[in-house]
Amino acid sequence: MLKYISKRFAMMVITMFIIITATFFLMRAIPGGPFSFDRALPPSVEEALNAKYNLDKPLIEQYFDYLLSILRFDFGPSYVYFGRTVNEMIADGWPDSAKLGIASSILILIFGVPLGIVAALNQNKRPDRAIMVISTIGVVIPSFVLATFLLYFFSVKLEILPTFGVDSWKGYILPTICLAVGPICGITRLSRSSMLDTLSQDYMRTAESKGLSRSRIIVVHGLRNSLIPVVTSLGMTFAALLTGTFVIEKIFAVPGLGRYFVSSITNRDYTAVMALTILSSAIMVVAVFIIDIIYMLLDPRIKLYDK
Amino acid sequence: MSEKHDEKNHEPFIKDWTYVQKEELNAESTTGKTISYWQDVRRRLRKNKLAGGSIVVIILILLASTVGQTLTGKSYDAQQLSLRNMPPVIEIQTAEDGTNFYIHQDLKVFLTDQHGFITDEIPPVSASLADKLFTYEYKGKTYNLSFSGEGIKFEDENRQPLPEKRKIWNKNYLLGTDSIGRDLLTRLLYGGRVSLLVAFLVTICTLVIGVMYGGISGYYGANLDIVMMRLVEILMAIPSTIYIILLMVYFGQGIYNILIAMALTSWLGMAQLVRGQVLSLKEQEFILAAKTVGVSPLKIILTHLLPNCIGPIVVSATLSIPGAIATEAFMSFIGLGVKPPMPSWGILSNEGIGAIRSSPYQILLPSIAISLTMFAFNFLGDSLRDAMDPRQRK
Repeated sequence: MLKYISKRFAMMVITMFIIITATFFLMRAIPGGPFSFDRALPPSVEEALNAKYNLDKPLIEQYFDYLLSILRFDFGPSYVYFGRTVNEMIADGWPDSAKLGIASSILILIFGVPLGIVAALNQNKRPDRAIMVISTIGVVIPSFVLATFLLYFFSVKLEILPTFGVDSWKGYILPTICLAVGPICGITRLSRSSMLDTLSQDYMRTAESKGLSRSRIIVVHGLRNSLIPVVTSLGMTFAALLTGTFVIEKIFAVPGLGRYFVSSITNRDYTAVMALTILSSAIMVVAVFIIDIIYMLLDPRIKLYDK
Repeated sequence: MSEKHDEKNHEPFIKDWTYVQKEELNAESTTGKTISYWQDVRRRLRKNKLAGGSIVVIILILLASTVGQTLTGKSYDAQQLSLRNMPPVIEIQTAEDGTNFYIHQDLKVFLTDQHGFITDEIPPVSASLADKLFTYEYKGKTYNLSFSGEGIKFEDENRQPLPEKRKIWNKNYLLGTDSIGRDLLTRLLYGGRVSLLVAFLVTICTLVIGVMYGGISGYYGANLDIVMMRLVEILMAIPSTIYIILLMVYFGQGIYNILIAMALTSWLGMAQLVRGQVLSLKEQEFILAAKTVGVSPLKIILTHLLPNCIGPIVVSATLSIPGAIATEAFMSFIGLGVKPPMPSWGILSNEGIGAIRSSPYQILLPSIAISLTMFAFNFLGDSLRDAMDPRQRK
């Protein structure tokens, strides 16, 4: 077990190393430095700026400096907002993104798996049909399209919710719903098919013939086994939601990480782009690592496959 | 009579027997006509109404986006600033002398003919912002436009509303114009061309790269497979949106750049799928036979292995089209996709979202177009998968 975990851990470190390296050299390779403005700077100013941000050193040295500073979780100064560090700006934006992420994750947990199980237990009956039709629509429709429809009906037509901003709790309602609908429908479909798969297994029949109660069969034997693929999807969704989402934050003007990411792309704030890329990939990669371990705890067979 | 006759003689009579017709030959056979796998898939697909509907919708969308733009006779980037933010449906008010007015929400007064064709804008003769009152003169008559708290009112000289009001389709611009006076219908059609072109080309790249990569990895196996698949696993660990964003920041906006960035990220799943299929097929006898007679590995992969795993590949490719449409729209929406003024559905959504309060049609139209296309391709993909699934055969 320890061997399995250490192997996954090594894999995670290598992945992160590749991501950081690729990000660094890709950002450095963009033509035009961070200080090439429309109006040319006097050479002395440009030199001073380059020296201040360590851009005058050889590229390899800069790279190792950057690696070291990331190990200390220091993402360096912002190229656009002078005098502010990227760390400060992340600390500013993250709470709003995380609030949205947590709220929509709770919605996903409350609705996703139960709806899927209700559908599976009523296969091909009316509740199943209804759930499947709605969840198909919810999976297919892109979040920003859903956001525009919801905005149009609730904010423009009915005027009961604000169009943008998160000044009051009302501002959180629409973005949370927009973030949650897609994953809820995805999880519903996944847990339905997974539950159906489990229900047709031999051990379910064995459990039934042993005379166990129906609720015990479904909860203990069915749910635990059918949750394995669902856990992966849930984990990835939560990790993605936690770091903010570009489009929803942009539409609803949520001052979170996602909007900061988009604005730093348009402002060519390269340190911020690098930091946010690395941060969101790191959260994703760590999430996959944790999911792998949960997987192993849920399904002891997985260890056997590992050589 | 004949029965008696039979009983007496116990002799069969030829005239009581007839030849079996050819079509009756198998009447008592318990097996039906055997049909090939693909005939079965086609039969099941034809029975599925949702699949048929999706195909019709897809053909219509393809037709509209390929030839539609030439039919509108307008260019996607021609601006007419005086006619900006024109909605698709306009309310025209008719005066007693038969003159038709259209009052735009930006406090502009246009003249229209009775079919809703906007001919001219008339400037106010006097404007008083303090009284919130504009005065117009046309054909010797005076009209007042007041915009107090109760909304915009257009009245004649006696402050009475005009006798007739009706809603009519905008004949100049069937789907209205955007915030700088470009024809939204043309932009929607041309945007569909851009979005679909990107989606199809990305899917073709996915197919070519993914199938070759997965095929080679699965066929050669051993160490090459381990190296190639580890690379795929590492690339898959990077969230694909971030990967595309990074590439787009490096490349810059543009239709070819978004194509390359998406093609570079989308083949991973296909490679894994094909590898899995090839792994399960390559130990079978027909591959051994081909190897024995000296067929080259490339030819084995292309002519023996791939045709046998075409089903999952087709389904995956069909389902990757809506995915690519969504990604392109998403990237254009955050300003990292196609370069304006070239429209794509994502660009149109991006331009429309700011005007959701004043001109909601600008955001609703591209949103509807995206949803419709995504639904059609997804339902087609799902139906294809069901039709190709031998377990669901009836």
